[in-house]
Amino acid sequence: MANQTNRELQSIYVMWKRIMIRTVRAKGRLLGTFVQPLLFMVAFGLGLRGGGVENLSFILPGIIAMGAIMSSVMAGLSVMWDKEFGFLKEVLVAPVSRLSAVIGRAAGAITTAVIQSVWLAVVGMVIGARFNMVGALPALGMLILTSAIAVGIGLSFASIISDFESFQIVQNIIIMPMVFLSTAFIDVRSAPGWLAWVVRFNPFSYGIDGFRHFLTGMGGLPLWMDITVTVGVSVLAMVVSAVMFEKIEA
Amino acid sequence: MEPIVSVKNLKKTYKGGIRAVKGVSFELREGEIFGFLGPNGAGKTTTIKMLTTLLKPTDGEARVCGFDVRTQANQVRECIGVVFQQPALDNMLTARENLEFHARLYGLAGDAMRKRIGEVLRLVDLEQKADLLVKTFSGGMQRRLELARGLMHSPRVLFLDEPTLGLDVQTRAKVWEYIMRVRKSENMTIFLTTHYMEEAEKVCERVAIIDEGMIMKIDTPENLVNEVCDSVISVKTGDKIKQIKGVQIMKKNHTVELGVKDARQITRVVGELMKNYEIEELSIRKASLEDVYLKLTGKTIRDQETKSAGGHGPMRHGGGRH
Ligand SMILES: Nc1ncnc2c1ncn2[C@@H]1O[C@H](COP(=O)(O)OP(=O)(O)O)[C@@H](O)[C@H]1O
Ligand SMILES: [Mg+2]
Repeated sequence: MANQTNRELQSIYVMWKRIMIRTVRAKGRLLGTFVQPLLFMVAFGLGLRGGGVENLSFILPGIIAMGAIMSSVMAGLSVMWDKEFGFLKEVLVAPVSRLSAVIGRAAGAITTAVIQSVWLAVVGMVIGARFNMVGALPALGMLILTSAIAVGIGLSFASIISDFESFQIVQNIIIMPMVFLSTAFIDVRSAPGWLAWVVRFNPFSYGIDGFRHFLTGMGGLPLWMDITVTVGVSVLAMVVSAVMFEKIEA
Repeated sequence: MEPIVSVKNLKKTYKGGIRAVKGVSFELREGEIFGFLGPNGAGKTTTIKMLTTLLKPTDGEARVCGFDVRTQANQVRECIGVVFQQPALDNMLTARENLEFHARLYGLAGDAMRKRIGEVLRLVDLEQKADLLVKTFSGGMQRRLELARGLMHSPRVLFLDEPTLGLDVQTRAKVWEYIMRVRKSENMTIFLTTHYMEEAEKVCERVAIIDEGMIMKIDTPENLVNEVCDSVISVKTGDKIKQIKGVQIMKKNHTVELGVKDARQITRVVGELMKNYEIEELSIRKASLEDVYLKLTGKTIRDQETKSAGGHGPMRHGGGRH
C-alpha cells in the first residue's frame, strides 16, 4: 500500500519534471509562453486604453486566464506528440494509475501556466493595473483549478483523437469559443440576457470570475458559486480524462 | 511448475475487420527464451501488445506471471519489461533522464535508483553517453538504451519486439550479445519476436512459427529442423527433376531445393542427380529454420519481406542471409 502510494507520487513528480525539462529545452515553447500572451495584451489593452485603470484591471485577469487556459490545453498536444513518437507506450505499460499519469501531466502544464500568468500580472501592474495583493493566493488557487479544467479537456480529446489536425480543430471550435464566451471578456452584469446565460453555462466562467474577484474585487457571479463549480468541474475533468486515458490503445 | 506466461486461443480483430491474431495458444516456462518467428504482418506485435496490456484481446485468455491481462492489468504491468518494435524514448531527454523517468514509474528512487541506472548503463556499455540527448544516438544505441530501460526494474518477463529490426548486421550481432549478457546476469524469462530466421535459431530455446495470425508449430529450433530434413541440396538445372526416393522437393524456382532426411543418403541422392540430369551447379548445406518455414507455409520469409517492404516500421536490411 505504502509502496503503491510512493510509486504514484514518484510518477507524478517525474512526469512533471519531464515536462519542465522539455519546456526549458524547447526554445520556441519559452517564446510562446512569455511573448505570445504579451501580444494578446497589446491587442486587447490598446483598444481599451480609453477605459482607464478600472477597465484595464477588469480585462487583464481575463487575458491572464485566457493565456493559462490556452497553455493548459497544450497538455493534450503533448500527449499527441507522445503518441506520434511512441513514448506514450512507456507510460501506458507502467504499473501506474491513469489518474497519476493525468495529474503528472496536469502539474506540468499548470506550472507553465502559472509562471506565465505571474509574468503577465507583473507586466500588467507595470502598465498600470491595480491588483489586490491580499487576494493573490486564493486567486492563484482559482487559476490553477481553471487550468486543470482546460488540461482535462485537452487530455480527454487527445485520448480519442489520433491526428494533429483534429486536435487543432478542437482548439479552434471548442476551446476558443469557450474562452471568448466566458467571463474572461464578458461582464455578466451588463451582458444581454441570452449572452449572460451562455456565459453562465460555461464552466470556465466561474474560475475566471473567482480569479478576477480575488484579484480586483470585480466579480460578477456569487463567489461561493465560483468556488463550488470550479472545484467540482476540475475534479470531474481530471477523473474523466483518467478514464479516457485508460481506454487508449497504443 | 506453473508456466509464467500462458495463452489460450487468443484472438484480435482490429476495427475494420482485420483479423491480426486468429487464436494462438502457447506457454512459457520460467527462465526460457521463447521466440515468435514470422514475416511482417503475421501478428507478432499484436500478440505482444495484448500480453503487455496495451491492447484488449477480442477473445481468448492470457495470463502473465499468473495474472489475467484483461482484469489484472496493473499486476501484469508490474512484472514485465517491454522493448517495443517502434522506439519509445523521449529524444529531448538524456539517456539518464529517460532511465530516471522509468525508474520512478516503477517506484525506484534515491540511491537505489542511481545505483541501478549505473548498473544497466554499464550492462549495455552506454555509461559514457549517459548525459547526451537521446536524439543524438544512433539506432543501435537507442535500442541498447531501451534494452537497459526494459530490465531496469528487474521484470520477471522481458518482451522484446523485433529487437534488431532496422539495424545493420554488425549492430544486430552486438544487440544480441547484449541480450544474452542481460539474460545471464538477470536470469529472466524472455519473449521475443523476429523475422530473422538465423537469429531465432541461434538465440531461442523454443520457437513458435507464426503466419497470418496462427501458430504453425512450436518446438526447439533443433527439433523443428530435424523434423523437416537434415540437409538441403540446391541444384541449378534446366531439367525438370522428378521424385527421388527419400527426398522432398521444397522449392522449384531457378534453383531446385531438395530436402534430405538422413545425412547418410546425401551421397546416393547426389549420385542419382548427376546420373540422370544435366546439373549446372550443386551445393549442400545443413537445413535451417528457413527451410522449416518454407515447408510449413510454402513461402520464404524473404518473399514476404520484399512484398511488404515499406509497409510499416523502419526497414533497413543489412546484408544477406549467409
Ligand atoms: N492498429 C491497427 N489497426 C488495424 N490493423 C492493424 C493495426 N496494427 C496492425 N494491423 C494489421 O494486423 C496484422 C498484424 O500486424 P502486426 O501484429 O503488426 O504483425 P507483425 O508484428 O508480425 O509484423 C497486419 O495485417 C497489420 O496490417
Ligand atoms: Mg511487428
